[in-house]
Amino acid sequence: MSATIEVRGVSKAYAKVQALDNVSFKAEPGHIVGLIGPNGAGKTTALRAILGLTSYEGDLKVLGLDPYTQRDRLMQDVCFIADVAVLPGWLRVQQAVQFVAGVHPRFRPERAEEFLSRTTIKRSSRVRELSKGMIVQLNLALVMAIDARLLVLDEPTLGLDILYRKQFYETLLSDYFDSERTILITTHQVEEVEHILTDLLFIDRGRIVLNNSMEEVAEKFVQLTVNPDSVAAAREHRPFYEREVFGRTVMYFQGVAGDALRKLGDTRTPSVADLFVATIRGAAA
Amino acid sequence: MDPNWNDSQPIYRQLRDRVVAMILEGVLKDGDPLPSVRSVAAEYQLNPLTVLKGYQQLVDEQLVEKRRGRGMYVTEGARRALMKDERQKFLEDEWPNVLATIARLGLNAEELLARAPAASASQSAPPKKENGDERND
Amino acid sequence: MSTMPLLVRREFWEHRAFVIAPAIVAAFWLLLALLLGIFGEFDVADLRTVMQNHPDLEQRAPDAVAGLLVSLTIPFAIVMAVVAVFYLLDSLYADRRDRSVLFWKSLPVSDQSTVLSKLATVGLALPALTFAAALATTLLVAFIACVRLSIEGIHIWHLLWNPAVWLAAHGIFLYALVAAVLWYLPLFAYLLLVSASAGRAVMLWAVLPPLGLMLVEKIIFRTDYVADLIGNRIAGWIPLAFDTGHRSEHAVVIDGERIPFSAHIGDVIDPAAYFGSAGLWLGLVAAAVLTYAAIMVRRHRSDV
Repeated sequence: MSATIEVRGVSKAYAKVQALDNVSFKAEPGHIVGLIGPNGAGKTTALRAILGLTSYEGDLKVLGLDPYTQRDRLMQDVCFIADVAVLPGWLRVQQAVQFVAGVHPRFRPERAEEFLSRTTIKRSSRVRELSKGMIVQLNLALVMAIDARLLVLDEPTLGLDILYRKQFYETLLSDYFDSERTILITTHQVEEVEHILTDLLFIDRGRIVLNNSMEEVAEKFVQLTVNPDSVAAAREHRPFYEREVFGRTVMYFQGVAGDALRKLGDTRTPSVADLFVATIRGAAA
Repeated sequence: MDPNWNDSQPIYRQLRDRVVAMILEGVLKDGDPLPSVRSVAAEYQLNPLTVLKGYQQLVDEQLVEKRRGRGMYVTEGARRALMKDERQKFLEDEWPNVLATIARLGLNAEELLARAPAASASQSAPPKKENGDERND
Repeated sequence: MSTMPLLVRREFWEHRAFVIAPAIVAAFWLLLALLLGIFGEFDVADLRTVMQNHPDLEQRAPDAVAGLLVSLTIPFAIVMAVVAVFYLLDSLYADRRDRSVLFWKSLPVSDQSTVLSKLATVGLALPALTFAAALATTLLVAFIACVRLSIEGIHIWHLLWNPAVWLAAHGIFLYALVAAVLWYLPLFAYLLLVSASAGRAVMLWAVLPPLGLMLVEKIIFRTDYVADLIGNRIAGWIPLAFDTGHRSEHAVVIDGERIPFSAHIGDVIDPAAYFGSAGLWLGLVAAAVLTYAAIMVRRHRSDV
């Protein structure tokens, strides 16, 4: 099966800002891809290009289609949840279900109804009367009822309290995700999605600075909390980043065998959050 | 049920350890089905592939078997095999250390056992052997 | 595009003014009718005298009644026009401002369908609703008038419930609606384009450019082509669609006062002149071009 998303040398410039700079990556079916980056790094631009909302230079195929020119066809198989704010305030819950049912060939209203009945959402409420968490539940209900092959999530849990956040991912994993479907997710809450991801992408200032599967990350990257007397020896292996924590030096290595480092201190696979900081700061150094 | 994964071991190994603990404690008995990959992934917010890897590890260790079309089940004798391993590890690694410590501290092993609470003799007949010889059960 | 009815329904969900505005006009007329009906004072004798002095009045009464009915419908049309303008300016702008466009664009609805649905709302659904509201209101008002006059001893039931009268009055109203909508289509499309393009202050963007052009032309060329064009586009359909020349032949005169109306539709309207006019067809072409432009802007604008 060919990749769900294929990005090859895509660039996008706005006025004087290079939002995307020769970006390339792939998302395969059955994978959950995390796109992590600081604000303004180009995450949103990348998502917009994938969803056909903006033009770009380069080669971009989503489910074999060109998103910019074939957006309405693509949207039959792609679902998008942007950070909560986008459902119109005047829309009533039942109107939302009715509308999506009428325009989406793959929408099954019973499934949305079933999902909604598990919440406290009233059918006649308008979106502006719902709490943020309930709006996300509504959005999820609509998405779960669509048999989409790609789900794009742009900071889906922004501003939600922990209960809704956990429920969001739980639902995603138990009711939606399977070996044929793909999820592309951007988020600031790196810790939250850390264990869910299959693949990891770091983006900074429009460029991809890391592109590995989580398995590769576990093989390639090592975080070493150095024994105080071995700091110099550790430095010889050329860490790409180091910092001080409680008086101990912590170093990050790429492509260095774990055995060599194990004698010099505590080794482990860095968390995604730590790896992210190390990669971005390491590159800046 | 927040698991609090630690970051010194890969998740799939920690998952494997968790299942092993459940088997040893009797929560999962021989022949019991394992919770589905999907439900574990959802509940613990893990990638299903990670869960699968952990389960696969258990299959490789022959503690769990895949029954076609029906999922993963604890193999017959899994608990026994685990107990055997755990006991062996204890008797080879930990027990001698405990004995050495008792001696070093000038305590009497038999006296300590007599005073120990009866709860320690909960499983099958506790072997009063001093070497790691285990033939039955 | 079988989703068009649903898309138009969506517009009605969002804009309650579509229903509230005609309801207010209807309520106004009905209240007035009820108040006059219950508390109004008629000089019955005077009316009887008039009817005795003008025996042909009963023959010409339908015209007067038809005229009255049409004048009842005029506020509905005016209100509809105002609602339409504000609706169009908002239609492709509001969802960009509150970012809900991201939700709509995440659904498999083409930009073409979206823009056309707004046009269909203003060109078909709103006029239909306006017509229905006007019809219902005039029926009720007429009923109240009949009842009140009957109490006074004047029975005009046969006059008022004459199908010809109703057909004439509402036929004329319907014709006027159709003629006006077709004539205003380029204006609607222009407002759609502004709505799709403006970053802020949509109203200013709609009004200032034509105004500016008018002024510039006046100052530099000392001509009024732009002003004339705009004026023609606002009121030009009336002399074309209606035959004002015939009025004088069939006018009803009561006490020296002319009631310039006729219940004979054929005397009032002039479809040949209207549908044959260059203004109409050029306008429709302009509307098509402007609509296409609006669709393109909606597609390619990336400020979402």
